[in-house]
Amino acid sequence: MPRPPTTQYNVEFPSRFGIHARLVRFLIRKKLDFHTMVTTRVGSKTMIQFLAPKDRAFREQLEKMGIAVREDTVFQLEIPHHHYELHKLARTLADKDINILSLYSMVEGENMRIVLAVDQPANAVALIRKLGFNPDYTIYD
Amino acid sequence: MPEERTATRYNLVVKNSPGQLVKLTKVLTDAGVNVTALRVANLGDKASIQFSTPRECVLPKGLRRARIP
Repeated sequence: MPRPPTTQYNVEFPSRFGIHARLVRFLIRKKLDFHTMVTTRVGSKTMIQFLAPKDRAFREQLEKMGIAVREDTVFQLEIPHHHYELHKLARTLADKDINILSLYSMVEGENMRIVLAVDQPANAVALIRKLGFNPDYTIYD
Repeated sequence: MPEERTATRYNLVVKNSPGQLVKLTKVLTDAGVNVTALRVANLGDKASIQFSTPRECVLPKGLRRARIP
């Protein structure tokens, strides 16, 4: 059976322990992969990013907790782990006014795997293909 | 036994607009530095860029010259 598409959830809530704890317990119950989770606190707000299968019921449960939810399309690509390759990628996106919404990377041997969300995913994927890389909407662990 | 290396992590807060990351990658390329980790997060009208480099790399001057952030 094909895996459901992965989406990047961006959730935002007031920085209060109660709501944060409730959210974490909920995500544990849902067996979320915590490797993809990034937590950022800005002023009185906390923002958490994580990857999960796209699921309307899951989103509605988050919203019922009083959490604001945004979903971004994400894709991944592998580039050689060399500063120039990263610069080439960043310059290509910047030249076409594509804004990076989020990015994280892992170095795997000679390569760097990048998981990326941008404001124009289809355009970005086409440009990245032209650079000779192979972006993929399927995110693997 | 694997070689142990220490790293420096940098945290930058920049404007949330296209072209911010390329300013950083230009500095890295000019300095010949490979990042060992990179993360960008959207913070509304700002964005956060966090990256790590091997400990021996010295970047702050290049970042200041490029006016980052």
